[in-house]
Amino acid sequence: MKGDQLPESDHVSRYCGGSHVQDDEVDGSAFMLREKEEYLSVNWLECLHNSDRNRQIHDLRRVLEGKGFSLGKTAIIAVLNVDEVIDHVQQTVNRTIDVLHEPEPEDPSHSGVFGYTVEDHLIADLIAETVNEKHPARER
Amino acid sequence: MEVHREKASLENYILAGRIASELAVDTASTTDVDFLFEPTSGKEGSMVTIISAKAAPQPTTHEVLHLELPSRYPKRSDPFRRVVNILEESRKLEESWKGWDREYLLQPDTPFGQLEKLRKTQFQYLIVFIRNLPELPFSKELSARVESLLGIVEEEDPELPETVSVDSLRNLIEFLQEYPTLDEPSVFLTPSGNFRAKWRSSPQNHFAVEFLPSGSTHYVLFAPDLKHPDRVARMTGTTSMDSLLESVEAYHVQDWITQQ
Repeated sequence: MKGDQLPESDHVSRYCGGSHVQDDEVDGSAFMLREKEEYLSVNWLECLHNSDRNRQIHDLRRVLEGKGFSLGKTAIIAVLNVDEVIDHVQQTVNRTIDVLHEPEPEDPSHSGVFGYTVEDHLIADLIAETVNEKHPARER
Repeated sequence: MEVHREKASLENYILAGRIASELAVDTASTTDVDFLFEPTSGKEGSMVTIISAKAAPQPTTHEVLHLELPSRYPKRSDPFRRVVNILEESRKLEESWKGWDREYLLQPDTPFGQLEKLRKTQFQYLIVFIRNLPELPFSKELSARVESLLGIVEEEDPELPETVSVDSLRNLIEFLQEYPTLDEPSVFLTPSGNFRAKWRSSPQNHFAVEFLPSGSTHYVLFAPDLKHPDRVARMTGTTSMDSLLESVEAYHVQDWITQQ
């Protein structure tokens, strides 16, 4: 349901455009908010498929394309564990962030990372440190 | 038609790009000025050619501008002042455009349509400029990276290129020129369209700087704590580009972002 906290053991993904990636390194700029954004858009992978990561990523690409994303050649889908993200930010800068379900009609897996602002570059960089998988955005 | 050739400086490149940009942005009120900028490079050094032409031939013609581009401006604000003057001059002419067919003015083969195309050329100038910076050992790599970033945003989000800031790139270049012994940074774009340089050798040595168009910077620093080096100090701040390294001097940042 909308606003539910995602299970801590689950994973979210973030589409990271190629301008936030260099030499396979995802920069914190991929996790910065745009002006007027209240939260960082992510996708709840276990909502797409129970446990098969390849299937999750495959389905996610279809979802993103359906939403009009032009999946870039150098873009990355970064995967993060919910608990690791929350814990890393809490432990290092004592800030509480939440990962909440924000389903959309055409994207039931849509979720958000809440609790930081457009100015919080440090938190964006901390979130980038918790990326534990990277998949090409475009199917190869 | 008058042609002025001046040895290129960063300011000249910026001014050329900025005039193109400003005038293109101003197409809602259109100007009757046609600018063509041609960067060339060779052994004799990069040159910027600026051609100022008379206005389109009807209903009246105006000889609007005569640009003098010294190779080096004494103050950073001067180029902008010139642009403002140009725009003010252009606006004075608006009265005499009444009755012009605006659709005609914005056709691709008109001076105004060409000005639209010139929005992108301001970056092309800077890419050439960076590539020819002798003091930067990674000038070619940086130039290629900037070119790549612009290609990426164009591919991924057709609206975003218009938000990418040429002034932010100018400030990044000026900073790197000021400290030419720094290591090559990774370079990214922020969601605001600003350039972000990052030096990161470990989770304890992380220095990322967003160059704002205004000349300010927004930085994030992770470094060994001053009193407890086994711990990591994490901080963020906003400061002028000129004071950036002094602001983080206590953490000896320059030691680990400088070429060995």
